[in-house]
Amino acid sequence: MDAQAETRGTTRAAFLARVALVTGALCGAGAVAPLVERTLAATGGGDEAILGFALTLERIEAAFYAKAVAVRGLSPAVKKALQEISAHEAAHVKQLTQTLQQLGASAPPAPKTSFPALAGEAAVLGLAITLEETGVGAYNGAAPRLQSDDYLDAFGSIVQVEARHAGALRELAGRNPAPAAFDRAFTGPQVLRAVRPFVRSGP
Amino acid sequence: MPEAPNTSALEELRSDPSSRKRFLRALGGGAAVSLAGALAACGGKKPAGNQIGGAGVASAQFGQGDAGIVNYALYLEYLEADFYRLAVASGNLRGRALGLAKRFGVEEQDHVVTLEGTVKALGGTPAARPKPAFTLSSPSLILTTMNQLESIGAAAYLGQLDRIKSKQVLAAALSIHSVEARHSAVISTMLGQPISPDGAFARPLTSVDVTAQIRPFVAG
Repeated sequence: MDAQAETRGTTRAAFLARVALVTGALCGAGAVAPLVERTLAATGGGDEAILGFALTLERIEAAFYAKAVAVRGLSPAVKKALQEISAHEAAHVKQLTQTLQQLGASAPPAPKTSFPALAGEAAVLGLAITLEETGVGAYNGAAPRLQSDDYLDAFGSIVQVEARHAGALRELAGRNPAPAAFDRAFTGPQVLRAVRPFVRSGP
Repeated sequence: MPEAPNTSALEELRSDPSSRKRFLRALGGGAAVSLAGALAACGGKKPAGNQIGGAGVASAQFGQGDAGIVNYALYLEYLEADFYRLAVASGNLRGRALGLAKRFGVEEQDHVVTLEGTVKALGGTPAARPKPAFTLSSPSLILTTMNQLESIGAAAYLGQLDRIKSKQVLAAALSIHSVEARHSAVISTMLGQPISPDGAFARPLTSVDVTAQIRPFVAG
């Protein structure tokens, strides 16, 4: 985490610092700068933090697809896929939000997202694949750290859908839908690096 | 996530220097070895029972605990690997379908090798390979079966996640589960079906249901 994250209030870096705190919870201590940790540690940890982190990812995905489905010039097959996926991500956001509410936990601040210009189908598919691969790796990395079997079941259910998205989108893009026999599990910092370009600031 | 460094659980395990893993590394190929970390189970979850997937069916066949679950997965992977091998050999696939069958077949075989190694590492004996009984006489029959097998496979892994005790076996199961999901989505959409037949939340299958659903594909 860079120094900027420790000094500015509502910058992208500050928002990501919050995410980093959570990813610190995901991947063990030491990944987050001490000052950031001190400042934001009140957020809590454990399963709630992991759920909150998943919600942040899903919100970024949902925001992306809301834009992506409106891009002009998409082929019918791609548009249909994006619409199906968009509905899934919105449902994930809703479910994770409700779960946090039921826990009495506060949802993390919604990220303000910023995506590159979605000029054409290839750009849309490329970004969608990046986000879905991040989702697959993030859930696969986070799921073993959950304490609750119920949340593990939920993460398994969601990651299967994220992986379905990744496979279908890759096929549509003319890429290998399953590039390896074993999917990777991302650490918190890896997820953070992957989503950083798409987050403009915190609330 | 274009080129993130590969730090999957499997890779971490592969680089683990413990002597037991070195021993296992000498036994088999890379992927098989990487699951050797399953031995270093950390933290129990559900009590080890003699049931897999919620009912007693097939437990005697596959064994107990994590080794039994891995063996159950191995049994399914044997069936998938044999399906793709036979489907490609049938000569009835062309074009993209043939390309996918070849590639997916290689991946299923990777799963087989890894899971065989894991069962042994956990002190179990790999499951008997089922005798396949697929009807491969037309492209549409092959694709329909492919769709069923991959969907069942993904749901079968999902159904076992919360029964796995070892976090490392869990990480490995997750890394295979999402690959089965990719396969399933591709064949599903090729047949004009949704990317996710269950919608936003995939549904698991118990071993009882899986056993019933694959019965038509197993001889005897």
